[in-house]
Amino acid sequence: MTTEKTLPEFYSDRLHFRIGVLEDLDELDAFFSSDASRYVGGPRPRGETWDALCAGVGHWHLRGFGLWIITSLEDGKMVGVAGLQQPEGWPEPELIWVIFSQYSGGGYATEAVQAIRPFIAREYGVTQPMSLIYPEYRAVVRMAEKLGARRIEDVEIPDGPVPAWRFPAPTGEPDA
Amino acid sequence: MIAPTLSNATVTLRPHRVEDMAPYWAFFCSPRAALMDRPSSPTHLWYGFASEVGSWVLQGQGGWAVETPDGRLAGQIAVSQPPHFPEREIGWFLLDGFEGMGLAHAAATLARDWAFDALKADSLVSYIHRDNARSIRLAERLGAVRDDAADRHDDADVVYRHRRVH
Repeated sequence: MTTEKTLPEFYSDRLHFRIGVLEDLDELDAFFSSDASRYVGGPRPRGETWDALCAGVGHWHLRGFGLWIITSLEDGKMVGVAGLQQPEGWPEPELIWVIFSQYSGGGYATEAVQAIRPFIAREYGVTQPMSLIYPEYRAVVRMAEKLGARRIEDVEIPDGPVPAWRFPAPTGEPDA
Repeated sequence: MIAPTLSNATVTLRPHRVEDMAPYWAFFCSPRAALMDRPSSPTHLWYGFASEVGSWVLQGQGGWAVETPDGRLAGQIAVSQPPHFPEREIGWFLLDGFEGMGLAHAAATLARDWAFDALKADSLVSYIHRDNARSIRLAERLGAVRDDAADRHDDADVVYRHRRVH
C-alpha cells in the first residue's frame, strides 16, 4: 500500500500505543543493545535498531498494519513495542510484544496483548493471531498460555520452521 | 510521507511494494552482491527493505524501486543516513539482466538531483567497496570525486562525494 493515510493509535488503562518517531531510537537502543533483548532479536548494534524502528513504520505502508511503540500514560516513557508483523514470505501476521526489562512484572505485557487482540480482530480481521516464541523463554510462554494461547505446529517462515503459539479469538469476538 | 515518483526517459523511481522484496532477495543471494552488506536471511532483508519505506515517514528520505519505462523492476536506489553513516548517502544496485542499459546512471541522476533540490542536501556521498569497479565507474560518470579524507563506517569502502550539477 502506498497511499498517504493516518495510522492508528489507541490507549489502554496505563498505556498509549502509537506509531514510532525518530526520537524513539535512544530508548529502543538502550533495550536492544542489552542482553535483556536476547530472545527478541538482540543484542544488536544501534544501526540495526534504527532499521527496525524505520521498518516498524514502513510496515504500515507495505501491509496496512504494523507495530506500535508503547509508552506509559503516567510519565510518557517507552515501555516496549508490540503489534502485528508479516515480513515477506511469512504465511500470516505474527502478534509480537516486547516489554522492556525495567517494566517486567508489572502486568504490562498482558495489558498490551489484551488491548491489541480486539483491536486487530476488529480492524484487520486477525482474530486468532499466532506468535513465534522461543520455548525456553518460559515467562513469555506462561503468559501467552495464561491468555489462552496454545502451542501449534511450527510455522514455516523463509528462515525455517519456528515454534509457535496461537491465541483464541478474543472474548466477545466471533470465532474465525 | 512516501517516496515521490520521479521519472525521465530512461527510468522511473517509485515507492516500494511488498512484491519488490523477493527479487531483491534473489539479487542478494547472487555473486554480484558479494561486495555489498548482505542480509543474512529473507527476514533480515525485510527489516532493511521495510526500513527504506519507513525512513520516508521518519526522515523524509529513503529507498525507491527502480523501474524500466515498461514497468519492470530493475533495482533499488536510496538516499539515506542510518546512524552509523557519517554523511547522507546515495546507494544503488541493479538486478541481474538490467546492467549496461544506462538505468543506474539515470536513476542516480534523478535521486541525486532530488536530494540536492528537495532536501537541500549540503553533502551527499556514496560509500562503495573499493573493489566494486562498476559502481566506482558510475560514481565517476556522475561527476562524483573520490574523497579519501572523508569518514566512513567501513574501512573497505572508498567515499565518492557528489556535486550539485545544475
